[in-house]
Amino acid sequence: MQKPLSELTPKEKADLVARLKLDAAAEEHFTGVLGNRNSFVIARTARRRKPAARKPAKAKT
Amino acid sequence: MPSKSSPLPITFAVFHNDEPADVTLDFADNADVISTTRWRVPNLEDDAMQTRAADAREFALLAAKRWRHYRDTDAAALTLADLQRMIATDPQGEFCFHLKVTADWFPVSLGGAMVRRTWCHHLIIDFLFVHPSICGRTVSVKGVGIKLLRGICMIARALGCKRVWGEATRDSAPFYEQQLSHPVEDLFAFEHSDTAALASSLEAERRFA
Repeated sequence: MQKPLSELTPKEKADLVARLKLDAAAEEHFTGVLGNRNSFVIARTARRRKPAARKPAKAKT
Repeated sequence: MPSKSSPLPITFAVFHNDEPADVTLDFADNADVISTTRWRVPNLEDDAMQTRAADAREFALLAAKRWRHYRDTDAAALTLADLQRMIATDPQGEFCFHLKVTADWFPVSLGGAMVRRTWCHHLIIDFLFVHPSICGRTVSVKGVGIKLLRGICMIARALGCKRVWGEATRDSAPFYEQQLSHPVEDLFAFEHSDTAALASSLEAERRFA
């Protein structure tokens, strides 16, 4: 197919729409992402802040 | 046999508001990959759609992070010719490439994928995602995900890779089962005949030479 969509004949457009409907059906179980976020092994370990040492409480006099 | 001519870019139609609309699939460059990190998640009333949209953004961020690793170690390909050159130089090297789907009627990319070519000449789909607005259905676009998958198979065919594989999660296994017509557990694999069929189906939809 070598022409803009606006120049398709009704038959050509109907054929294209029928194919696109098949594609949409083939995406029925597609949630929008593929892959596993947990398999991301290159991520740098998040830096952890050392908990600030608590100052010793001053003895009340 | 690996194809000599580049299969990408390829223009084909998807549904936009239930009408055919042209989109183009091509290799992504650094600016394309980094631009996906600026995607925003729309506010949605439907919790499931909100989660999907947030997942899409997270996957795009993870893919960009991984991209930076390969880019900085000179193992990221920007074109098919680049990838072929890298493989010729180091046949057992591991390389990465990103794909993007764009359209003149959508302000940013509609989706992308991060793919690795392994040391034994297979392709691994690490991340594939469509734009959060498409995931969350605030924009009605259908067909981007399946065609990204077929585009990866086109590249596998062009490179002569015998397998496209990856990890299937609980959420994605049904999608792979639908494509492969057999049960899938936590590993999916499109073998040579599968990739050839999926590549041919996209090639048949090429709208402009």
